[in-house]
Amino acid sequence: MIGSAASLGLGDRRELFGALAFVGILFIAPAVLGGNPRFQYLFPIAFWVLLYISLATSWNIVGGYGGQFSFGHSAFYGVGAYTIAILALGGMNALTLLPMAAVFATLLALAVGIPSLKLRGPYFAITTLGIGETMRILANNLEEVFVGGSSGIALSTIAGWVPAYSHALTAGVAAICLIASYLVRVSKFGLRLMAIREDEDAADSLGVNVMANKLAAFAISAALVSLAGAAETLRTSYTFPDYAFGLQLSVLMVLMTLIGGLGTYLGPVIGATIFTLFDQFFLVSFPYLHLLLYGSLLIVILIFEPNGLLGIWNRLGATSKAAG
Amino acid sequence: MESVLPFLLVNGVLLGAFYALMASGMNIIYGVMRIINLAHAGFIMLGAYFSLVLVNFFKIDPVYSTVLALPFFFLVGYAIYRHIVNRLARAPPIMSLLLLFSLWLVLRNLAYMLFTGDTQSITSASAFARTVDVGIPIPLTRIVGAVMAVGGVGLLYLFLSRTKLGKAMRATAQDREVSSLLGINPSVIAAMTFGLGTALAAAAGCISTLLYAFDPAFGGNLLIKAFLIIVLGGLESIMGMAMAGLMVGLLESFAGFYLRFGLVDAMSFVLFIIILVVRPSGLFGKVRF
Repeated sequence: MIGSAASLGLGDRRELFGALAFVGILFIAPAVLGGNPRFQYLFPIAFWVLLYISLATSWNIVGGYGGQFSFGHSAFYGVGAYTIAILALGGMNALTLLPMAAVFATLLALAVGIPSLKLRGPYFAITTLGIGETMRILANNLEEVFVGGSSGIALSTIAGWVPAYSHALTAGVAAICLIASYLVRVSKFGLRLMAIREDEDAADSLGVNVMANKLAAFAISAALVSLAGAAETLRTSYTFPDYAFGLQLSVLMVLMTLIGGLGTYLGPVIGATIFTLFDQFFLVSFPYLHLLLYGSLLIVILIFEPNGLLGIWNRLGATSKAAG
Repeated sequence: MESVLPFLLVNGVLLGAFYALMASGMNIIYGVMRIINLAHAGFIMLGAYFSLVLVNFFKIDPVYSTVLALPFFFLVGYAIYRHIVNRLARAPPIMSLLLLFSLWLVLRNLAYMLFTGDTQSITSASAFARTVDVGIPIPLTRIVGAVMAVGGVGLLYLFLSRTKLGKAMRATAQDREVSSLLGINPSVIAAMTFGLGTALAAAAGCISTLLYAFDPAFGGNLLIKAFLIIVLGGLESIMGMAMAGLMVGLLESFAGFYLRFGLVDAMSFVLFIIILVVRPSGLFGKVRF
């Protein structure tokens, strides 16, 4: 049912280059067209598309390929954001902070993943929901660790960082996520993940180390999400617990992936792009309507086409081929 | 210290009663269908707005709107099951989890559109809004809320143990195949259960207006607590669930005093994660997930 044979989204080299080219366009377009006041709005849109592509693509590694639905991935986003914010306050150089964000996120993923990944399906999902919310509450209340408490951290200057870099960094993070997702998809590791998704017991009986593979996917996904969190914090110089550790971000990662096509390579890219456009054009005039529509769209998709927009596309392709 | 103890105890018991009712709707849906109803939070929130609307437009006391909410939300839940949830009854459980999660998103944003994101409070709108002194001063609304919650859980217990429909629900929860062999239509029972669970959530939402202020995101933190109570109490046992609700209420009451108040929810969630991982059959239950 999930990720059944489809003509698009299998993750061949063509799709990798296509996705990377798209990231390239989003990187260059604002710089080229940004001088023209008519196209100024492109800059933020390109940034959000890149950021959301990173989030959905990383979530898809554990949720889509591995079938382990995390509803608490904002925990790792928040770790990325807070690693940057706290250590930059201490005067550390921004570029040395990025790998540290990934390291902390990986450690957290291992710490919470080892117990929680023993649970299956819905139980894992609701446990991660608890993990995300726990992190949010801790960040709001433990001012000893998460400096600033509920009001968050605002950074005036960051050593070794020029704000103009942030767009390039975000594009870089998106490219890293897409390459990582591709490498997982075409590797034996990816095949093992998909075997676990389809039938955990069967995979186990064929000699797949279920726990180790799930944990590896969880940790990789967490590290990538933390890079996105770090990139956004470097751009805005500000982060606060209810956003960085908030349920909203965890939900977005799931939503975007599902809309585009769960477990497919290009699905998260399509879902993230469409969501951002929805978000940017509806948000101003109808602040809540877009999430209402998005939720409804998701319900319709879950009922009629669990493979998302990519599934609909492939179905249309199959019909037109049959007709022609 | 001695003067604080009775206050914390009473507060914990009153809170626990509310928690038990709040979890009961999710519990029966989980028991019969093995679905974690993430839309539960949305129905609690809608129940709260239901009582807000009744107070504002019809001057109906939140205490009475609880009774009116039951049939209304039963029909809402029944219809939602019949038209939406039922379609994924045979899909992997994670799909219905996502579906109900999307439903929560829809309900929440519907509430944002209809009622704006402003925090609403109608605790003082009730005729029972005064403080009584039973050795320690306690708001009467808290006592009324707890009594109604205990009454609700008691009625649910009687319904499940004495009536034919209730027994049919329990039979379906125990063994779907065998009960359908006995002439019980599992899909009708499932729709009835979903309606009842929705009604109980909304009733808890109405009662919650006596205790808390609320906004469209209200219920989110209650969701994990409800599931904690189900996991703690084990399935198929209303008494186990009531005990678990009481435990969580007492724990939070004491933790709120001895720890930092803001960390109370985090403690419940950490407890939840530990219980689920270490002892998934619950403290009192026998059923393994």
